[in-house]
Amino acid sequence: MQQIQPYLCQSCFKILLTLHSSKTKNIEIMRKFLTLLMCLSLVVGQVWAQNRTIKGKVTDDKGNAIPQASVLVKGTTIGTTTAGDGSFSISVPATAKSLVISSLNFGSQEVALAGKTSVSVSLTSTTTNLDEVVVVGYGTQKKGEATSSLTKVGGEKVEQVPLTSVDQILQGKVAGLQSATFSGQPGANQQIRIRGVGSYTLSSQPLYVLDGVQINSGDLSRLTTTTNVLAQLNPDDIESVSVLKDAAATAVYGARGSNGVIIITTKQGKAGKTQFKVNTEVGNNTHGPLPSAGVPLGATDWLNLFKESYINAGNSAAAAATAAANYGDGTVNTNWTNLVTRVGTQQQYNVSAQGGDDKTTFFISGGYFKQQANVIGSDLTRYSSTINITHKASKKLSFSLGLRPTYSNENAPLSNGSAFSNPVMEIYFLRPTMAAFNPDGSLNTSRTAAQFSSLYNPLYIVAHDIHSADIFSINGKAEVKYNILNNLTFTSTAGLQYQDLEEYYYNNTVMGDGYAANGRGYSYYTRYFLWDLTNQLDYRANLTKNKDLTFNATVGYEAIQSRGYFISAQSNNFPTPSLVYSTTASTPITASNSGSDYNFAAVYSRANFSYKGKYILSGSFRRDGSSRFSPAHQYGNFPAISGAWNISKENFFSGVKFISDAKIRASYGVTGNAELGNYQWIQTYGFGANYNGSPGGIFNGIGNTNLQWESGKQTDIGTDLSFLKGRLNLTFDYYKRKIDQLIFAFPLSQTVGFSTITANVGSMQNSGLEFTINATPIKTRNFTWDLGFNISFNKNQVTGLPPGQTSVLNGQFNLAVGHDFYEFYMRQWAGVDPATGNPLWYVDATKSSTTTNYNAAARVFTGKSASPKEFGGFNNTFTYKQISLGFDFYYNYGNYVQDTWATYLNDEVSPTYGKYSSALNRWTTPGQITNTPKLVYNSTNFSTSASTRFLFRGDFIRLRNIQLTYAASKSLVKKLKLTSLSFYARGSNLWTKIYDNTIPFDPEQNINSQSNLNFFINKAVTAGIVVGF
Amino acid sequence: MKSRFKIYFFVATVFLLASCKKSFLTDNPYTAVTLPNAILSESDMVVALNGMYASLRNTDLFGRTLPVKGDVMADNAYVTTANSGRYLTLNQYNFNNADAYAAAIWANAYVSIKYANTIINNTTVPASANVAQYKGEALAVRALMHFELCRNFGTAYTIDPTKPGVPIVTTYNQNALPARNTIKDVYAQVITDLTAAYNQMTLYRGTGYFSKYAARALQARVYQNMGDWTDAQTAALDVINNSGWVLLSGTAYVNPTGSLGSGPSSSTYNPGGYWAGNAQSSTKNETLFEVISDPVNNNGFDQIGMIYLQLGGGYGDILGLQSLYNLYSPTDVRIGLTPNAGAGYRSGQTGTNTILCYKYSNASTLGFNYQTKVIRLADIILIAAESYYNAGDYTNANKYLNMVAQKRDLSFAGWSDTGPQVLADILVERQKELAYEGSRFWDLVRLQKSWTKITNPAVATTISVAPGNIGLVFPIPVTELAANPNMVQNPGY
Repeated sequence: MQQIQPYLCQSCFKILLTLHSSKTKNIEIMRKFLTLLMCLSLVVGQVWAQNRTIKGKVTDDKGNAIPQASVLVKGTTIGTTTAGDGSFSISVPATAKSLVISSLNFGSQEVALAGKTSVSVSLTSTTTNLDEVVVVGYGTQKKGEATSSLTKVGGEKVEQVPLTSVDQILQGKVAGLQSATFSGQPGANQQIRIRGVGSYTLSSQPLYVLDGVQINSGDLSRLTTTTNVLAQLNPDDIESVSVLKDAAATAVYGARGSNGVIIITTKQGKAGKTQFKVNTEVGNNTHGPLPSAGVPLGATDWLNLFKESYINAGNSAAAAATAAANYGDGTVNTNWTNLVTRVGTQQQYNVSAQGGDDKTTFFISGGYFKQQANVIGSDLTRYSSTINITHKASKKLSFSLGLRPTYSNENAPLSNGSAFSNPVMEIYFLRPTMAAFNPDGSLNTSRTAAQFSSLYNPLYIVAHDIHSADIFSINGKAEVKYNILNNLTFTSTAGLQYQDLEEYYYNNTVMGDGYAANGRGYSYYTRYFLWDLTNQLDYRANLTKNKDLTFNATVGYEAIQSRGYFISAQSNNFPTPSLVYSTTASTPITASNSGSDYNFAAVYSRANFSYKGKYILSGSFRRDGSSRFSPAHQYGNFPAISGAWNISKENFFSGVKFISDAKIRASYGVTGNAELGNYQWIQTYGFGANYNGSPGGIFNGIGNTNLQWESGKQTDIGTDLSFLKGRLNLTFDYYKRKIDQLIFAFPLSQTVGFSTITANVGSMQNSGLEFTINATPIKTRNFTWDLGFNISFNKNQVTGLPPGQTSVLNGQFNLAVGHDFYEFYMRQWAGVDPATGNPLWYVDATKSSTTTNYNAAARVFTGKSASPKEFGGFNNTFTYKQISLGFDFYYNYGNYVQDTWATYLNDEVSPTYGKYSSALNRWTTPGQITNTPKLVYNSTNFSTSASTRFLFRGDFIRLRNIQLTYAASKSLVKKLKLTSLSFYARGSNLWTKIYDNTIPFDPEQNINSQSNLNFFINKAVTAGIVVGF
Repeated sequence: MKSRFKIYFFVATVFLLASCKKSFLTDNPYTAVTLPNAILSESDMVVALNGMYASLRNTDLFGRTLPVKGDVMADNAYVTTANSGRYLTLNQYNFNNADAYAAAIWANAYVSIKYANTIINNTTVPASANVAQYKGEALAVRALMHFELCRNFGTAYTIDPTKPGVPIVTTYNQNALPARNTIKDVYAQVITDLTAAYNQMTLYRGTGYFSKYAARALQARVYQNMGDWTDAQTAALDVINNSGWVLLSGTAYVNPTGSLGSGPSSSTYNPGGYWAGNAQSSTKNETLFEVISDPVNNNGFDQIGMIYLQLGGGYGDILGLQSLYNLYSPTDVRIGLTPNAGAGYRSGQTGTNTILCYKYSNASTLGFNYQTKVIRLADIILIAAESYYNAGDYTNANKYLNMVAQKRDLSFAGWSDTGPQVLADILVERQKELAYEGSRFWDLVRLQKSWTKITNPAVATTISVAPGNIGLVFPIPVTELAANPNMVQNPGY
């Protein structure tokens, strides 16, 4: 309504009213009627004289329509929104000078109206603009108003890589987030650490929130080597991922926020004409070449070294020849690496449809994904689908429904460690003199000394064993939103996560773990059902009349319950190799079931004051309770406070033109880590220790009636700078994360009958810097270069140990005050004595003397850590007209990696196993300087036991992702009646630079940098088409 | 006005809807009971006893390591060339203070003691004859474990009983940081427990459970290790005369069928007789106490039979020595338990005869559910013989010696020596009778003998073992020393 009209209308109505009054005389009636006519004509005249219609269309810089964009006459409240095809029609007064057109995530633009009746406007996406909306805990926030440290990874970055799960894709994209891919098994779990290691004994993984549900994440399987709940989510269905890093962002998640929170939101659909998208991608997976130091020996070399070591042990050459002849004569030279690895294929097909109008929007998708690993017998097949619908029933009431059913099947041989049926283990442990095939072409299953007397033929195992997991999951959400008032909204959400894993594991009767038992079959059923209910009120108000001071508040209540149900069955002794289900087996071994539940209940709230968008103060508070905590500490309080100063909005800053946005922010808050065992605090008496066919019970749960969550107090100071209108953006954060009440299985005297008790006794801190640059160095009409760079430095230090302990041994690490959690604590290798070829170790940390006696060498803090000193990503995208080329590098420096299986694969301590090629460097003549000692058959000098000899530098840079995209021209697209068409080729992990040339394997291993004979990392090359219509 | 009311209404609804009962945060485990409610009745106590016995079956206690140590570290057995990596440190006398076997024995023995104490110290079940029996069994197990701990981690009693033994634990205390009690005190506690057990046990529940005379038999063994021959004799004779246990004779003991074949895969060998049985026995033959493995509850591939079994997926890592085999006369039925398969039978073991152990397996069944014999009547009879020897009564010494020898070799004329030769005869008979049962090492240690440990007959290396060799005593695990400042390590580690 125009401003002038209401006044006229009021007057007209007043006149009309008086006309009806019985007190009016006729003449007066006539006069008033004429006045009314004049009024009306004036009004109408005003309308006719003052308004004109402006039509137009709003698109983005790629020519796509932007529906629901706001079109306002500048300086007035007259406005409309664009339709689904981006078009609008608005009636503007004659005095209107320009239109202001804006849309979420696109910023705004002013268009002059002088003399025009139609305008077309192209808005550019504001991915780095401070008006961008980011998802935070329990709501959304404008980036400009944010006072916390968080990073958003948009959907288009998540669609771009041929990886199975979104947590793999985050590597290198977020400063402070370390994501370790340790296994090339498709569907493998990924280890993520945000701002360093968060705990000794509990999980350091962040909390995952998927469409508002705090899901059970990670590897929920019980028989399969590794699975990942996030591998059930098709990355193509993801709208955005928000990584919340500091306490201001995560304290609203209370007792579960200490390790950071990753919020994943799936696509909800956009109003407008229904858009279809079809994507097809196929490709190959291989593994990178083994580093030369890790290539296993060939048969001739192996036999020669065997004989040499036998002679060195004091035997005659003839005896050595006889002993070696037991294993082969060199005619059989099997390259196990080639037999066990393969070129795997990979394909995915995704179809999606989204659309809607101003009342209903939807997003529906279906996807098929199949990936064969680069190792035989291992693959993942996934069928996934997403249905998200939002409907606005009335101005006040809207509701949305989301449902994501997924089915996947993972075939995974025992894929880590020294399990004899791990094909990767077999590459190293099997002798090259063993034959994989018999002369007639069948698989060799002989168990003689020369063949598979203790190890297994991996080809036979893969062909005849079954290791499969069927995972069926449903994630769902129903949400109702009611606008009680314009500025008060009530939202009620019910979310669920259902995960069902059916694992089957069969060891065949002829060779392998099932041989002795004449076949072993395991069937495990695992079911998790989690529901998450929240009821939340959101309130917004302007505290002052001129809207300078605004106030937002959120308060809510949340209840979560997770119930796990497990059935396990094992039976042995199968009558025939062709029937593999346990009903046919004759000897039941295990038949058991059990369950495990946990609950959380919390009240949470958030408040935010903003003065002119310049000064912002935020606070949050959550009171969290859980069944995992002992009754003495059932509830905890988790407050946080943060503030931001948008310096660029100050008057004194208006002169500084080249800095378009500058913000300083600081935060402090308290969070917790609640990943305790569900019943860990309870002192229990357990069953199942059966004897002679009768049930047995034992006091096996030491419990702790004081057990509570671990607490994290984090301080963060950061700044966000934007230069040259968004051409260059910098974000810098300094943080200090103090972790207390660390749960620690601190060692008891074993005479107690327990080795450890878990208690909240330790403390640790992480401090560091994060630095992110996003820039567009070149932007011309046809050519754009976008780059992103991030680097993170983290220093971890143990600051408190249980009373009475000065250090706690943790495998190859030792927790001690002042040292890094992952600092290797080992004996120091001092090389090989040139005179005798004996191994040497330094006696102590002073390195002043050496000894040939392993027991006499002390373990010391080596100063070498498994955690990197710096890591990050470097991403570039070059776009020229319709072609774009993107590179993503991931780099990691400063850590050390340990070969944990070195004992068996070096020297001749275990003479019957395969050996690394580095064995050829062994000492043979006095005076020779080398790092490999004299080979002695069955030596007992501990030369291959743990020491710094097997620590390698873990530095590397990897080309994680490279993508070349060609978008078909607009004319071709129009001709084919499509909305978009592009072709692309991608490669992942194509190139790696490893800095230590003595390392026998890829340096990317577990977070604790200890190798475990995992599947090799995948090198994938794929090509695909995306069609939109 | 209306809108404010709406606000209040909705806020109230939110919190009403939202509040859950306090019991929402209480979750009980599905498969465990809280400790105070664990043992409330006699049947609960039986369940607790079963759990205690099951812990003895742990691979690193009687499940495999304790019996294996007694033969591999002595002059009975060795670890073959091609092996699965097990027991190498025992075979080579090559321990460091983090040795896995020592650490596992230490930790698991005290776990069993904890379970025994839970029963012994229970006050909620009212007293009765059954309860006395059950508590007696727990006392016997506690004694057994303290005895094993003390002789594994301390020097022999006969050398110096004032040397450090192991901590005595009779109650549960999670804050305990005990020092080592002297060997003398530990043995005193063991004797006290066994005496109490003997006095209060009245039932016999089968060979898988302690009974009155099993406790007395163990007590005889303890006295033997102490060198207390008077008490040893009393205890041994009590068992021999009053327990009702008998020895089996000749082929009832061992009666082999089948053949070893040319290689393990063609073996059909079955020792037959008493040793082919793999279920618990209720008859009082031979065994006073054994640790039971049943078809469902066993150590799988880590069962004791599998370390000896050559075929069928067994590791077959441990073989007997020729010197042991040569002790048996051809008419001794016991040779059927340790047959000679000839040279080259075992892959990777070159140039020597392959002396197998068939006490825990046979060709037709997997070695999963064979029992570990802890105390046998034959052992007690030989203790009686040794006690008579130490009293100078050679006649009785030979009488008891022949009680065993002539049941095993029906054509044997009998031992009839006098003087120190009798002890040599007794030791030979013990070695023959108790081969592969973990006994030989302790005979050598308590008598302070020296011997040559053959690590592998195919290779020339041997180890001369004499009293004072640090390998005769396990190291206290480094994790115990780190956690317990009152603990003192053994010399040499």
